[in-house]
Amino acid sequence: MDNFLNALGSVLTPEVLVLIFIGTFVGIIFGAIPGLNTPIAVALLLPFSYKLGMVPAMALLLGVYMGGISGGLVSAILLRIPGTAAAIATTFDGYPMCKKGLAAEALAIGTFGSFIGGSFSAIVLAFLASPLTKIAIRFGPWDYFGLMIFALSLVSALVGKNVLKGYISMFIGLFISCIGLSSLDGLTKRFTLGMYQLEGGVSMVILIIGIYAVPEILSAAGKLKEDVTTAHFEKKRFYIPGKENRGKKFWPLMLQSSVIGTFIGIMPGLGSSTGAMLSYTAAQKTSAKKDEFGTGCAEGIYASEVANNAVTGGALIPMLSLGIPGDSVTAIIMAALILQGVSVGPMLFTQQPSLVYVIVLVTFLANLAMFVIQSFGIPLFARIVQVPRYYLLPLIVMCCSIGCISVNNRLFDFYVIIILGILGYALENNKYPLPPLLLGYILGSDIELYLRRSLMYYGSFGECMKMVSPGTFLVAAAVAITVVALAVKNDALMSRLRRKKAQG
Amino acid sequence: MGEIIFLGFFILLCALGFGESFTWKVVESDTSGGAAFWPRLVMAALVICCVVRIVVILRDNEQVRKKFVFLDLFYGHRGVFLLALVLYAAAIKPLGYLIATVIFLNVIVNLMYWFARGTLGKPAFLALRTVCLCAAAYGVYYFFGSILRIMVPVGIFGI
Repeated sequence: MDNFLNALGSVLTPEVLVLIFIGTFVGIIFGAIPGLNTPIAVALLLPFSYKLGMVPAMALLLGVYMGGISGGLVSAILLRIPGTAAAIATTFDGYPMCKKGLAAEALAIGTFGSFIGGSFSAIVLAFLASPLTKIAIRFGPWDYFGLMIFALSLVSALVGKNVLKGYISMFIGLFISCIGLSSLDGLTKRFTLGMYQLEGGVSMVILIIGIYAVPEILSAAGKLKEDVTTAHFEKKRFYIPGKENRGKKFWPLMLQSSVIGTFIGIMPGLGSSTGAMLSYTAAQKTSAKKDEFGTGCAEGIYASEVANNAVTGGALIPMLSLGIPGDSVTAIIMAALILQGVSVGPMLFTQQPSLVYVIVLVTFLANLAMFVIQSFGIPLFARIVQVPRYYLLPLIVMCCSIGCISVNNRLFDFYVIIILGILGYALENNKYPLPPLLLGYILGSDIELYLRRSLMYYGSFGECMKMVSPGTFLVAAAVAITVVALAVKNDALMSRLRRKKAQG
Repeated sequence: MGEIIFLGFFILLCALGFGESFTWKVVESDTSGGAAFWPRLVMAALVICCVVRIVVILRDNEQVRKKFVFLDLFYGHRGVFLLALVLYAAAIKPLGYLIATVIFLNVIVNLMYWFARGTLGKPAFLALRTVCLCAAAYGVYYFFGSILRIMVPVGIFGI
């Protein structure tokens, strides 16, 4: 209780509340503009959060996270272009409703749904993170190694259509994490090419900006002539759904979508878009008005928006309790915590228990801020969607440059982001998923540390595998996931099987 | 074919890295394999994945013919933007952050405006745009340099 009151005291300050609002506002804008997304917004703000204290930094970044996931609905509904992948399912019913002249109603439904989903997952986060930690605290180095390998294999196998590309991406991330001084002894300079700037490795902020922001900017620079137009709708001061689109009849659907979204969030690598799509499909199957889905019905928008925001709290659960981020944004938020000197994982609950409550409270308040800002500012966000790229992109580059320079007070990092940006462009445009690369980079040094410690304790890899422990089980599960995913997602194999089946 | 070259680059990188890892010293008391143990595992796994991917590509004619999206980064509007970005990065050290950013913003915004619309707009609008971009660059410079006390690069002009 004391920890909760401490957290409440540190969150309910003017500075933190203002930062939650600023973060949420920035997140909504980045989410609303097609081509920009939440990881880019969080990545750009990461260097600045470093200069803030721990609680203000969390307020800013979690605000961006909550706002960004929800902000995608603006362009999804008005333009049929999802601002973020999480809002893809929102276009199915949001845009048809907009075409019926109910744009404001569709945006209000989406905003309200986002608030419900986000708040539900914040409550689950408060109750579920702690029990998971009690299990994790008994883990040894081998178990941690297994857990991280398991998370990596899950992400690499599930993100993207091609498993092999996911694994290549992951190993590139692991390779980048090897650059700099070795993790256990700190004696050997690895792959530094004789440059002292690389002795500390590639900075997390630099990698994130380089891999996420720069490729998006370069891609968008080639689409200058794609003009964006927006819909017109009736003006109101505060946008909430009409009586026929809120009320008790929607609560079971909201609960169902919240549970699906939160569960998907807990699973590493699945993310908001999967949560929203699964929830939309489930809602369609269980609805009495199946035929109305896709024609502009409120249920469709609720199913997508409740679930994609419910993913946010869910994704924070493994990050806080196990030190394994649920998606790319939580990976960057985890990076922010590490930069602030916080050891994320089970020890967080014993060393800084009030920080956990801070995160829960900020998550909840950011959802509230998102609801208020979006309900008031829907017309404004609709205009921001129209900002031409020839203004937007150079200004983002300016923010990237100062962001990079501020990390280590050196220009070298700006050169590194250009190189990483070119790599990221090649990977992203050829369907090599980026989340496995990011997760590989973040977990890489810890995996090495735990593997080498395990080898020191138990003698050899064979001895480790002989142990009956969660680590052994998780390593075996990681191998099984890889094999199954390679078989299931192997197009050539599947088409051969289909051909054989057709031949009888 | 482009993807094979791309993957070949990583294989080459791993081969060089593998060679370099043999120059790293291992402390006698270290029973965990030393600093080279984990990077070698990662590089070996990356090479295996790349080789398997190359085999998959070579066995499928459609995949061999499939265009690898990379070179378009170096021509057209994208190429101009990348070139501007590289020149901007190179100019920050000699010119300083503020002057380099002002030049970068004005050049690239006007160029991109022209690419998108085929004109630079009316002279008054052009002047207003230039003033706004200079103000934006100075705003960022002042906020980070003076308020957040970040050491922004200073060039030959002392700003």
